[in-house]
Amino acid sequence: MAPPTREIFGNILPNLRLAFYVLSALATLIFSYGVFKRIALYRAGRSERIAGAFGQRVMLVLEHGLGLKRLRRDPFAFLMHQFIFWGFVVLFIGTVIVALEHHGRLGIYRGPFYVAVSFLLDLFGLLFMIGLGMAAYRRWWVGRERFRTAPEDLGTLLLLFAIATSGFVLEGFRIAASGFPVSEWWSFVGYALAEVFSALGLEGPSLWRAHLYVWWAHAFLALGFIALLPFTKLLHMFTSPANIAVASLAPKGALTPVSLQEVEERGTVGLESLHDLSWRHRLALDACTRCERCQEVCPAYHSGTPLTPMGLVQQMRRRLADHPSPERRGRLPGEVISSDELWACTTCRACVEHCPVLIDHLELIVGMRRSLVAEGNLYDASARTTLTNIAGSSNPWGFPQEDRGKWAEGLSVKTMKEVGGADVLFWTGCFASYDPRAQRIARAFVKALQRAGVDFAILGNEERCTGDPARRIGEEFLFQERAGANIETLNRYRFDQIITSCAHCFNTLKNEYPQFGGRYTVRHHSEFLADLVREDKLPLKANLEEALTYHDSCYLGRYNEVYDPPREVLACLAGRRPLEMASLRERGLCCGGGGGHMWMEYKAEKRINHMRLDEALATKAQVVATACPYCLHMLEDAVKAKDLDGSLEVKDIAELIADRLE
Amino acid sequence: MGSILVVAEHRRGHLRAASLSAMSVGKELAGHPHSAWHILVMGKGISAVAEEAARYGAASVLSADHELLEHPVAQVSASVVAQATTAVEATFIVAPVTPWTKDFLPRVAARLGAGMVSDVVGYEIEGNTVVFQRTMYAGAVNAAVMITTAVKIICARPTAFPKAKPEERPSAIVPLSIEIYPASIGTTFLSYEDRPSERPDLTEAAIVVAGGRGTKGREGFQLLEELADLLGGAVGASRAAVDLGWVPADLQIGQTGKIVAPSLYFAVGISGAIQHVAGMKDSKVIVAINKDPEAPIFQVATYGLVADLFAAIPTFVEAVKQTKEA
Amino acid sequence: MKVLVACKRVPDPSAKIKVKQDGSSIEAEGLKFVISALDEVAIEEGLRMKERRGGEVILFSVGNVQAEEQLRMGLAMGADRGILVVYEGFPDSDLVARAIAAIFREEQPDLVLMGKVSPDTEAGQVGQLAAEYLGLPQATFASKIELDADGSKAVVTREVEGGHERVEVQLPAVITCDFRLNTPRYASVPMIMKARAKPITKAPLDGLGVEAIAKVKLRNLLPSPQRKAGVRVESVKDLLRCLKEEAKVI
Repeated sequence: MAPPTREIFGNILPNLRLAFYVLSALATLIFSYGVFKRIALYRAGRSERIAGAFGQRVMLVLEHGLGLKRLRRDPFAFLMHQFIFWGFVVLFIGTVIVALEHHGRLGIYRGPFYVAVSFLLDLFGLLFMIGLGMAAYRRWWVGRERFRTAPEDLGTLLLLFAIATSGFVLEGFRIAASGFPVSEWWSFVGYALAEVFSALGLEGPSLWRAHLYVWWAHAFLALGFIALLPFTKLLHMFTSPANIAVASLAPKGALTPVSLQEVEERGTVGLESLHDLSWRHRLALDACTRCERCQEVCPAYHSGTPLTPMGLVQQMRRRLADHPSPERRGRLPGEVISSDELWACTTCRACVEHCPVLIDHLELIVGMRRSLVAEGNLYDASARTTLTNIAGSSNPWGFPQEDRGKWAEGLSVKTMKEVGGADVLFWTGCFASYDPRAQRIARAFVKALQRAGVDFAILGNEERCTGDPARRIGEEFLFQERAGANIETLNRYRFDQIITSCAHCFNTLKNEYPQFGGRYTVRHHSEFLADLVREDKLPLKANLEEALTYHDSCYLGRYNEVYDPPREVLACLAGRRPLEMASLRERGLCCGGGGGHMWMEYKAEKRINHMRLDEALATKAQVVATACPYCLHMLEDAVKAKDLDGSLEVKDIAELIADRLE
Repeated sequence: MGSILVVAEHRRGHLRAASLSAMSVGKELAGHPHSAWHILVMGKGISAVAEEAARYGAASVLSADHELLEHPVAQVSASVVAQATTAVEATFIVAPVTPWTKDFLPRVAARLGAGMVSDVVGYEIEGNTVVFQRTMYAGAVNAAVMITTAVKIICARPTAFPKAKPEERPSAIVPLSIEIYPASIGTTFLSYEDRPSERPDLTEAAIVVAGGRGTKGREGFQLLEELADLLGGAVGASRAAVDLGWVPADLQIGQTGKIVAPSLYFAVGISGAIQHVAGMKDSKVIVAINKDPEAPIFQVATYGLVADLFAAIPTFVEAVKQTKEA
Repeated sequence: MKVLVACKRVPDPSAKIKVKQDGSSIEAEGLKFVISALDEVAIEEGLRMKERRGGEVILFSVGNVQAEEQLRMGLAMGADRGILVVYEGFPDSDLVARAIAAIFREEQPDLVLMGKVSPDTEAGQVGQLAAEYLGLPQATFASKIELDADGSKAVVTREVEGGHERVEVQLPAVITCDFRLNTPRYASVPMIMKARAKPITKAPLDGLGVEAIAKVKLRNLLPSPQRKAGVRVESVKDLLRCLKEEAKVI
């Protein structure tokens, strides 16, 4: 008996085969043209160098591109995409095998191999269709309120569905028409369809005719798919993994510096126009599949501002598509993206953290902010006051620099000026230095340090604002100037590590100061306290009675992945793990103070800090523990606004520890 | 030494209190050594004002009553003062510090080649010179200055000098005929509109009464408004009061609101969060009234009163009223 | 439209001012200097006029050579060039006004703008003195300036006691600015860099034909008595007494 196989192009006569090849060539040409145009668009962008690290990049593609790491929390979507993806891949491989078999006359497509492949193709084809069904269900049923659907979304789904359906139907006709060969039983879907067709009374010639028509339909659809690919979101098959591959490998919390020299050469600062978008930015814009995950987690979006990260990306992509030539310089901030949108961002990084294809929306937003600020356009006068104060008085409020160390008076705290060095440098930060409420955090932390016998010193009035607010607002050079000054001061003294109680200072000192030569071991006070607690250096009184919940600070959590140490500390205090709010850890809801919002009067429908407080209230906790003075301030503001002073307290982890020290 | 000319300001048919302070300065300067002091009033239909001014014992009251002086522009006022100065051979011109005098008096100085010192808070007569005291750098520095020219112009800060007391003998009222050529001036008065609120603008006011959450809403703010009106100050608020909808947003004082630096700031029922303090830290005198003795506001206040504002403010208002009557 | 705008160098208002031992001046060592905030308002207004009607914004400053720093900041905001009248010492308002008059005669601008008062000397006379010396109309405490179509007149809304006054002035004129006029733009570092190429001419006082005589002489400076911080008063009566007698603010 002849080994199981099937005749490739069986029903297709030579002249039709020729027609097919011509069409294929045409489709390939259109595809190539589309791809070529895209690549030209990227190359028209500003040049940008990326770090090598080939191995790391391959891992990223495997992790995110194949492993869909960011979809793990959404099992439905994870499966859906895997079905579609692997279904497509296997079907594609199947087509390649068939092509090789036919043109290369390999003679492998027979026998057990043939049967195995046929089975797999049917299985994965089915999974593919199930995946498509899941996608349709997700977008048009479950998410009908949530998703904004473009005609393209429906179109591509239908196209893929049609290709898969026609493929199976085709198979069914072939199996029926070729008399149900036994081995075809393994192509179970096709076999089942074949039985249906048979049952409908179709026979031999009519089956072959039907097969022919469906074959051409399938061919048109498939070739159409290939031709249209570069012009639709289907391009993400290439652009998304590509974007993942070229993702920034710099620490998450570090914004990219730009030198004055670069600015002088380029003549622009930040992303002023489409012309300033680098090839990497342009690729990122193409990688977006409109999955809306970024939007879902965006506090600015949920508080009723015009900003949505996905909207921003799509608007820029469309504008770029309309004006591909570099001579046409559409102004980005102000024209393509409104300044209201740009200032609405709190730089919480939820969008970047949740994007499955690693688009960095924040880089785009800050890039455009830099351009606005370079022309003197700030959101409001208070942002201006803040920047001029940071420049003139080294703190956002304009308090005298001489008063900066006064919070420590009477606490026997050494200054670096006095001692020249210590094991630990406690970086206090502007809030804890000047704000009476936040000064309590510093004093509490000092109490803990002294109790644990830690050798530490502060900079006192040699400490100056890290410049973080300036960088987030987009006044990059003021930030660099502040960083340079602080690094000079820091380099005068000896210390093993810098500990800070502010998440913003922590992030900047740790991840951004190295950009300017300031390389220090920097840790957050919650990490240090967790160590001290673990080492039994902080004897604590018996368990805290009040119910505690913990608010993840964006700059501590998402930016630096410090989620557990604060929780450990709280667990030790309370004898049980703290209650968790609905949005926790990577999904933590911002307090609303970042991105310069502490320093601007941004008008929105809802207040982000109120939204976060509502989550805290839902846990029924009596104390909200924070690890950053910005978060403390914003949440206390919300408590006051809702008149909840009696029932809910907001306290820093250091305060909670100091209160319970024996 | 020549005579002293006091430029008096009036409003709605009465001399303004500030002018009375200037008059006491003029009168005292006229005593050392003996010389005459005169008062100048200008306006339209001001006979009652002139009569009132005549009760303070000046040698004469010059009354410039003219159509064009109803809404005089700076050059016109300057012209009148210059003419009055010549008429009485004054070597000292004293005026109260008000927006009106600040506007035109320097022109008089330029016209007469006179040195001018504004916002005088005190003076000392040393031999035959007078040394004037004024503040600079938002009150941080006291400057002792002298005027080197023959004719001297000083603007006196009303709160620094007592008000002149009426005397027995009325002064002679001398009409001052003036020459004004409007066509050559190049400035035309168009209109005047009262501000919707009598209160001064928050950023300009010398006294600000601000309320926070402790006011518990409109009733509390009404007390503050009464105090502000009594003192001629403006009303402000902390962010909490604005967020709770008790007052409009343009009253918000703070890092992201208005930044003020009045001579006197009342922080009533305000806890003193840093964002608020940033908006008023440069106030010269800060009074904190709050129930909570631990409130951070007490750390920045010059004077702190731990009390319930609903009791303290009305008592304070009463006390102020009594002193004003005295 | 040619606008001449003041750009005065003053200590940062948040800074702690100390007086030298000999009382001759303030301690400038270690002090941060900025453009007087109201002059920034004036510069902003000049820039807006230039943006609407074309022309030139020329900054001027009368003071020591370090004032160049502030002129650079003003140029960074967008002004075209700067004139620094060098005078080491403490010029009185009259001297500054005569210097402005000399610059005016050379430059023949359409408008002279400046802040209504500066936060250091707080005299508030310069604009009016200059206007009189030049025989020009003036409008002080401007919160709104509306130029007419051909730039020959301006309707100015002035902040006076109790309300707003509107006056019409023929140009050229001197207008002093109130905070309510506008919100000045921010001069970012890139803008400061761009401004480095703009010219600043330095002119000594006598070069302008201005006599360096002071009409008001400073005898000495004294620090104001430091108010004690954090005095707790026991009663309302106590408070009122402190405010009236000690602080003298009521």
